[in-house]
Amino acid sequence: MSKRQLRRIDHFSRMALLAAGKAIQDADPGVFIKEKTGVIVASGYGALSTTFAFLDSYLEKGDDLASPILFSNSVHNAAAAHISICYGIQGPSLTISQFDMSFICALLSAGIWLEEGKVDSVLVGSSDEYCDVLGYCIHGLSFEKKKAYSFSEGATFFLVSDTKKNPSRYGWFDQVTMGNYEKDKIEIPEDSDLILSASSTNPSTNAFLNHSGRALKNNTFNRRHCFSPTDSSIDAAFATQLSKKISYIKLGRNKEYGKIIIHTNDKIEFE
Amino acid sequence: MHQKKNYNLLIGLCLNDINPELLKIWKVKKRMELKRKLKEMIIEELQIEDVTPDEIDDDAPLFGEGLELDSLDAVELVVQLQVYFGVEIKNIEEGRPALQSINTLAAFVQERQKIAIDESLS
Repeated sequence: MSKRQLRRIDHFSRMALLAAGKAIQDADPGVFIKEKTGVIVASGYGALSTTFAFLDSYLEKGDDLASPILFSNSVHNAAAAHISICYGIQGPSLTISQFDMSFICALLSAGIWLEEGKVDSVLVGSSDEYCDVLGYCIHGLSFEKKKAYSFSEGATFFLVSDTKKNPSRYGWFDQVTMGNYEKDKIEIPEDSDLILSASSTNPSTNAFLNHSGRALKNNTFNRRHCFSPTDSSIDAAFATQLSKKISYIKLGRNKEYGKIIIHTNDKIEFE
Repeated sequence: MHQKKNYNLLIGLCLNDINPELLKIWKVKKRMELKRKLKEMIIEELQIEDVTPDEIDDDAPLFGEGLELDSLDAVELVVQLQVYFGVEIKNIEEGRPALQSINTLAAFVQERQKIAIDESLS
C-alpha cells in the first residue's frame, strides 16, 4: 500500500491489517476466495490511541470541532473495514468486543458462518493496542495492588475454513466453547497439553483448577499475566507450535471461561 | 481568537494611512503566508506524509485529482478551518467553491476574516 492509502489507517488497524495479510499470504492457495471470505475482528479495547485522541479533541475544542477523521477510526469496526477494503473481501464483516472473551466469541461466530454455508472461509483474529493512558492506569493499578501488571499490544489472524472442504495446512480448532466455570462441567482431554491463561487481575486460576479437578501438571502452562484482553488469539497461534493437541482455557471476568482445543499437524513450518 | 482579530484590525487601520504600493506588497505577503499555513494545516491534519507544502500547487484541485482528498477530508477541513482561522463554512454552497484549490481556499479565508473585521468596526 502507498503512504497515501495508509494515511487514514491508524496503528490499531495497521496491526490488524498486517496480521490479516500474513494469514492470507500463509494460507493454502485456493482457500482465500475474496467473494466467499468473511472477516471477524475481536478486540477488548478497540483503537485506544485514536479514541483518546478523539476525546482530547472533543474536550479541548468542543463537540462542534471534534475531529471527524479521528472519530471514523475510533469506532471498533474500523479495522475490519480496512481489512475488507484492502484485500477486496466481499463476505460479511463483524467486529466483536467482549473483553477477555472477544476472540473466543469471534471463533464461535466464524464456526457458525462456516456451518451455515454463509462463507467458505473466515479471516478471524484480534487486535489490541497499548497507549499512554492505559500505561498510566496500569501503573496506578500496580502501585495500588503492590503487584506488577503488564500490558502489551499485538494482532493475530487465522484463515479458517471447513476441514471437510479444505485439508488444513497447520491444524484445526476441534472445539470452541465458552461458559461459566462454576456452573459448567469442563472437559479437558487428558492427552492434551493445557495452556491456562488468566488475567493478572483475576485470582480465579486456582478456583478453576479446583473445579475442573485438574492439577497443574508438567504439561500445563499456567500463564498468569495476560498482556491484552485478546491475547488468547496470540496464545492460540503459539499453541500450534507447542504440541499436537492443546487445550487452551482463557479465564475471564465474572467466572466466565473460553475453551479451545487445537490439533496440529505433524510438521509445522512457519514461513 | 478575539485577541487575534483585534490585532489584525489594528494593523489594518494603520495600513490605511500608508503608501498603496506598500499596502499591495503587504497584502501579497499576507496571502502567501496564509497559503503556506493552509498547506501546512492540510498536511498535518489530513496526515499526508508524502507531500511537502512546496509541492502543493496553489491552483491544483484538492479533491479527486491533485491531492486526491475525499469527502471525509472535506469534513475535517471544514472543522480545521474553524480551529486554525476561526472561519466557518456553513453549507455546501459555500464549501464547494471555497474548497477547489489552495488559492480559492485562501481567498475564502481572507474574505471571511475581512467580513469579521468589518462587523467588528460597525
